Amino acid sequence: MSKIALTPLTGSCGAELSGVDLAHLSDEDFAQIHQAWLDYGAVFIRDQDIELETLVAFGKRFGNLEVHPIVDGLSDAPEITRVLKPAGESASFGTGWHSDNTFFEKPSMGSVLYGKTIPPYGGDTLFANQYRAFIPSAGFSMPAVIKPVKTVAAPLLLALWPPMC
Amino acid sequence: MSKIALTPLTGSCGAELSGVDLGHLSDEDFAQIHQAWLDYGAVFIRDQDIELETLVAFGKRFGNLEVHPIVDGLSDAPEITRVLKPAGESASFGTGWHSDNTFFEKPSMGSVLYGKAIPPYGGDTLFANQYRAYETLSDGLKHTLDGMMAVHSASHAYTVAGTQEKYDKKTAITYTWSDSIMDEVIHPVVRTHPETGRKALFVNDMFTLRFDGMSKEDSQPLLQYLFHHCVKPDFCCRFRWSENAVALWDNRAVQHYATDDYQAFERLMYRVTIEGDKPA
Repeated sequence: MSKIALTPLTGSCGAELSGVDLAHLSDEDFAQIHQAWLDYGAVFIRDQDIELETLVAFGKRFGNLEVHPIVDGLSDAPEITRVLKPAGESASFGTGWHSDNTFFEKPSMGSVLYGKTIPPYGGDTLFANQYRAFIPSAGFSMPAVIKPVKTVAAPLLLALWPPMC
Repeated sequence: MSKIALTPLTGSCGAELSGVDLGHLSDEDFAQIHQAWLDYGAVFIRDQDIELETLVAFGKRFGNLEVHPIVDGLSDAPEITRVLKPAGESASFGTGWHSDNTFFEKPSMGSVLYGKAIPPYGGDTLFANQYRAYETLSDGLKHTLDGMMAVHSASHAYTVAGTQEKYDKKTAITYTWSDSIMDEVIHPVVRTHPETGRKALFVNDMFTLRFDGMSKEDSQPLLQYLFHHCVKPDFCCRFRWSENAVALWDNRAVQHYATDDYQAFERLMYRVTIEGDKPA
């Protein structure tokens, strides 16, 4: 029997999992994480003191890893991107609502982000449920039916507000 | 020596205080809470098992309490608003970014919200720092906005579809029709906070209709830009409620948003609101 426990973050998306050890992950554990990832859109697992090799191995259980064509990876492990913002640096990576790499023919399935040095406050990451964005729901004035239209990706990403996660 | 400890929620606004007992609040305790409220825009204090009288007394340390002209208060304590959303109810109070009561000549100084029945998840409240919203505009737009005035009114927020039946007194939160709903008041687009002296953006999507001296159509492009800009996630914090938590916010410095993502659960809050001054 699994010891993984799930706590939803909000009523729209996101769940925190406890009782997970990414370094020793059974197939059953992985199946539960995978299902939570589908159900909640974003899954958070704290207190994983792991090697980067373990991060890579975890990612590979979902599928092949990408090497980003523009953002440089680590020289000895190009599938790992180091997201470093030194104190005092103004440039911020990932600020602005987006899905990763929708400018690819095959946009990324998902991403795994591992926090090593974290400010005492600030630097939160927000997620917005795009199923909810498409479905009429109380409080959001959405048309009952939205006809799918072919869109052209442009540098200006669709900023969804209010945040739904 | 005080035992109150402060933990910032984000890099932009919001702080959680621990070591506070609102039932027994010294002048020094209150001074610290007041300072945190000015510094962080929104302050959160958990685990306060208090009577509503204590909530009222706490609010009154900030100033006079308002009796809302449209939203009904408790019959025996009209300065207390019961914010109840029964399980299954779709109408959500406070959903949409806004500052409280900017359609008053003197918009509310602040509000104190007390959580009594809290869903297991969902129903978070978001806050957005309007000093940051102003300070991050380019100098050219700051210069343009500094002298501008905007028209505020409850005429949209309290007359849209879904509102009308509340005047029939059959919903969890009931309203009383007031001719003041259709009134228009004018406030500066950029206000200077009377206590901190800092400039803050003061337009909101719920009550700001247009710029003074401009048609609605002329106003829309820039107003819509400001409505989006002023609530960027970089300016925000998000508070996850727990039973007996208290949130108080500085309505002159932050906007807030009640998320509507907990339809399966009941949520019960009590609110008191403090009178403000005329924005300048």
